[in-house]
Amino acid sequence: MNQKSINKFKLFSNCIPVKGSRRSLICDVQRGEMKLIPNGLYEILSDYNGKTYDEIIEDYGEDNKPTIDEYFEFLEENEFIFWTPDPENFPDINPEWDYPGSITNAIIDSNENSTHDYAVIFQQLSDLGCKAVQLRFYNTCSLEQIEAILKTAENTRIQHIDFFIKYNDTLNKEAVQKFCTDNLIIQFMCIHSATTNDDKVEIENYSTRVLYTTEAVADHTHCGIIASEYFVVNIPSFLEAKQYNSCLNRKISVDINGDIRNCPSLPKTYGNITTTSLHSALVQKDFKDLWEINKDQIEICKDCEFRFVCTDCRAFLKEPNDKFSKPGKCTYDPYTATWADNANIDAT
Amino acid sequence: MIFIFSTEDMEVTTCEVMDWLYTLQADCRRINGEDFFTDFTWTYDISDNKEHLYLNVNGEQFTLDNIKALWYRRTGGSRIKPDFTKIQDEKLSRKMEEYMWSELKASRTAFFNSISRKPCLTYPNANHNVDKQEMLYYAIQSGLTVPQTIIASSKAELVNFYNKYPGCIIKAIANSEVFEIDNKPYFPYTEMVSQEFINTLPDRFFSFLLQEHLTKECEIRTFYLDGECYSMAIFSQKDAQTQVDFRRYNKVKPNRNVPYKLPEDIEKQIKDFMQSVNLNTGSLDIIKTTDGRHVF
Ligand code: SF4
Ligand code: SF4
Repeated sequence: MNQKSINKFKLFSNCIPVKGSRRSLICDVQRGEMKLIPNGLYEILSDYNGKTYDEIIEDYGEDNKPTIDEYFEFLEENEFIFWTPDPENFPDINPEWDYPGSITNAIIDSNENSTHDYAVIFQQLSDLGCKAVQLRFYNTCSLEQIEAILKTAENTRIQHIDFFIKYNDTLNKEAVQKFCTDNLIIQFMCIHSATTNDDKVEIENYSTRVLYTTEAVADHTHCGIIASEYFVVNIPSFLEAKQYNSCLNRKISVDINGDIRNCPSLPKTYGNITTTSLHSALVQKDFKDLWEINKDQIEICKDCEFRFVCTDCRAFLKEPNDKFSKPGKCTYDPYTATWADNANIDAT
Repeated sequence: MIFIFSTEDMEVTTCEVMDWLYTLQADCRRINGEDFFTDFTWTYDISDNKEHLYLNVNGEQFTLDNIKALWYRRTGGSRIKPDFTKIQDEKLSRKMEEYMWSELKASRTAFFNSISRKPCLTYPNANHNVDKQEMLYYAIQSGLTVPQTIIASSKAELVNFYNKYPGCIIKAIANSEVFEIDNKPYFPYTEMVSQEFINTLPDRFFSFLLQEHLTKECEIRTFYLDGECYSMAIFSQKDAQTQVDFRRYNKVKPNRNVPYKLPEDIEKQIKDFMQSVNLNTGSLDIIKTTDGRHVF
């Protein structure tokens, strides 16, 4: 390989290696993919990025050549690296993360007793720059009611709405399909407590996801689940997770009673939406306390190769009194590189 | 007040910039080109030896004095549909329509000339379609490297160039675009010059443009904004330096795009170039060759 002898190898800057205790992960934040790698390869990638193949062989010795050749074959096959005479012209991705607004996402919970004024909530969220909202109905409701709620989001900056709704007969597949096609602001629709599971409901030509599950989403405790299928690999979420909490940063919520919280499952409330605006809740001094707890500060997670693609949870903890303890519902052990439940297999 | 001229469809960029403007509490109004002669009204007044411009955006009134700056992102097509069917004479009706468009164009120019007295990001009436060759000329004036290029019309010149730059390509001289006839697209095309092709040529013929063939390490797309260069390297699939079977590439594996830092002297030359063609923002394509040159 001629390239190897004259040029230096360089990782594409959007393929970011993350070291774990037992193994590492290359996060391809451009293509939204990830690949597990041995820690030996991680070492080469971090110590020799921008150096020649010969330099590596020189340091590692001819004996290790077959392994190193295998590594490079893998890196080239996945297009993680390229060869260049000028590696210094290829800087890292700018690590800054920012967003045009003080809130990026919100959760609004409700049950049969809730009396939210959605028009008011949506307008306030819009003023805060929030584009994504999740509405969780622990009760059931009709598509007409949902339509009326969606109407109040018109002409706001809200661009995506996800729903969790308890099943009833009128929420059959055809009706929901049609409804989602007519209301493209809906990005995800989960009908819970359904009679059958169905994750194959297609919305023609659009990326909307509809899911029927027999599981009941009865209250806010149905949250905080950590699973490899929820891992997110893209530039903004990776950069945000490196600095901030990957669940709670720039999040705001209104619970079933109208109480404003960072998330519906956290104990602290900041006033009721009927008397306090979201903005004035947000500026209270401890509202953002958990926002800057990133995975590098969390016990166990800080040794996990998935830490920047994993969503965090600060409401359900392994050690409820330690705000730096691992998410309570995660079954992954980075020291053995195994998941305790069978539901999770390494998606890579 | 910041005025933004943009288009209605497929314009995420304008929305993203406006999100930031809104968050940074900058006052702005967006006018889509589609509305230029319909929903949005304006008066240009040059009476009493003074220039005035009055704008009415959705019922709000503005004058030139209220305008701090203009961002001329792009303009869309007009929504006006002229109807000259009452005129029986087809030739006359066509001429009338031409006349109407030229009037609209001139009024628009008057509007933009006036608003351009304010700071503009892209001056709306600047000529954005400078000929390719003219661009190359300004580029070399600024010190940038351009591909070896000739425009000529004799076989002797062609052979001469071909011998000097084997593998050279022949391509369109004009900024020609794709066109369609009966649903069949036609596009101007770049072809490598071959000896067989040369053998078919008479001594003197139609004008042609020849350019040296560049072996790419990667392509560079530089976004220039007010003196600064923001560059990205694009590793196009066919140049990806991998041993992988090409058939494996598809839409799921888009070209690799990564940040790139141009050498300082080239950034300086780009700045000079942009100033010489009167642009304060725009995107430039550069090829980084395997022999280490950055070619404009
Ligand atoms: S902190 Fe936990 S419970 Fe709260 S929203 Fe995030 S994942 Fe859900
Ligand atoms: S240990 Fe669990 S919660 Fe922590 S980063 Fe790894 S997968 Fe996520």
